[in-house]
Amino acid sequence: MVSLPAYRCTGCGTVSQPRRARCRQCGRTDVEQVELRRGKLLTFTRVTATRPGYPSPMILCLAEFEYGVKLVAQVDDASPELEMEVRPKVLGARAERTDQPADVVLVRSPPAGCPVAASGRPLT
Amino acid sequence: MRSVAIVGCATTKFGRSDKDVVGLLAEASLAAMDDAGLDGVRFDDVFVGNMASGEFEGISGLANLLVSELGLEPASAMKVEYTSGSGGAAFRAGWMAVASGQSELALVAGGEKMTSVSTKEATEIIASLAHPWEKAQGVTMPSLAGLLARAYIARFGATREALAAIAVKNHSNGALNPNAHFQKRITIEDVLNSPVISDPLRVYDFCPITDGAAALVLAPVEAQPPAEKSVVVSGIGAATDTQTLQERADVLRMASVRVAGERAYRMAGIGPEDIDVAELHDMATILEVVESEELGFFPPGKGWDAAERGITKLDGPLPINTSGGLKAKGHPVGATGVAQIAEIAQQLQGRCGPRQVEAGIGLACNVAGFGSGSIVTVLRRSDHG
Repeated sequence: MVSLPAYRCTGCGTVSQPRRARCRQCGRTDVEQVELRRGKLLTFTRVTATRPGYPSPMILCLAEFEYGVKLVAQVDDASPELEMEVRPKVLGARAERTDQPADVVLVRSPPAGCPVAASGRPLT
Repeated sequence: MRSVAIVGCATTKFGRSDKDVVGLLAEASLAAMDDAGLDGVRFDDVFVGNMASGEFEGISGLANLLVSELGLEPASAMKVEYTSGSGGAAFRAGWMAVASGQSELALVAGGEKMTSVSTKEATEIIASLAHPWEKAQGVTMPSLAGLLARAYIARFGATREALAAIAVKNHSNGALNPNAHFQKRITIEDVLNSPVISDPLRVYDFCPITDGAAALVLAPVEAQPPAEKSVVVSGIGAATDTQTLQERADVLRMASVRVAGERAYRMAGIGPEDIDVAELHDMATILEVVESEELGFFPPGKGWDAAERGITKLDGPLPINTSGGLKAKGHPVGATGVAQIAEIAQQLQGRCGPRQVEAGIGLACNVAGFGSGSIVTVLRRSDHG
């Protein structure tokens, strides 16, 4: 199953994505990696005025994954619905965007019947 | 700390200008100095609010350029960059300089020249303020507003028409402001039939790309001759929130606005119920709604209903964005925070002509990025109890 890394503070357990230099809850700097595998769509928008190098239209979403971690990501579904189950898929950086430090994440809806992540509770 | 008065204020005409950003800042500054009646007076400090003169026009050293243009040497000077909160942050720097006793007279000027590049290029320059992680996903500021709007409508049962009503209101106010970018009234149908930018939001839900500048002259209250209608900074607060939208506990809350507002109210010794008029940062219609809730004007989830019922119109009990707001007055990024304060000062002094409202205490809320920072300022007319 495809997963995406997030970063758990070894001091207080707060999970961050993207990674920070210092935990916003306790101030510790050490993290361990955890995996995000399933989420649900909190909101989405169909963007027609997109930036150079991005498709138009493009659907962006905010989705919530395990540990309560949320991601802004592209949606690989022409007709998304609120609360829809999603899974992350990391796209390879495209040539014109190799200078950017982040992976481009695309979420797609999984087959019916998969359990949905609940806020703050890991499914794994 | 000393009390600080706004003794002069001015804005240029907002819109498409032939001037560069230095020319715009100089025009607003000269008008503000003239308004203060301070011909030939020496300034101790100059603060310039600007986001991206380098990216838009290849200009750095902006504060020095303005000092030279205005002949204000040897005043101390600096540019304050805080994305779309640059103007408010420059004002707060000027307020600190005068309140602390470092400065007897400070000039705060904010400006941006944006039409020097294409709309696509301008969108890209503005998008550079997004966190690199979210930026890589393709976000623009309007797309974040689209995410917010769909979530707000779904959770609170708000109508699309209520958001359109905010654009209609702000255009109506802008039509009464000779310095606004748009002088044209629009209808709900105009908004709902305009092209989609980031659904459910459309072209008329967003502020335009605009050139413009605004300036304020600040001095200690104790140095002022007693005047009936002088304007005093009675509260100011600033705060940050996460740079990413995705790290906020609730996508529909703007913690930086809430905390900055609480700090400003505490300093002023008042609450939201005491505010008579407000300028909010309506980069998109949905943001005016959420900010009006975070500042305590309306409970969470009720701001849309207040807007639809006309509470925030010019003749309503709490007029919001009498200037036309970012929506109709325009949003020359670095100018906005200064122009908002200039509008509130002029409302308190009764200088707003056909858009004048009855007000003794007013509030300006300038937002950096997409809520990653906010500066809230409360102004009071000196003769107001």
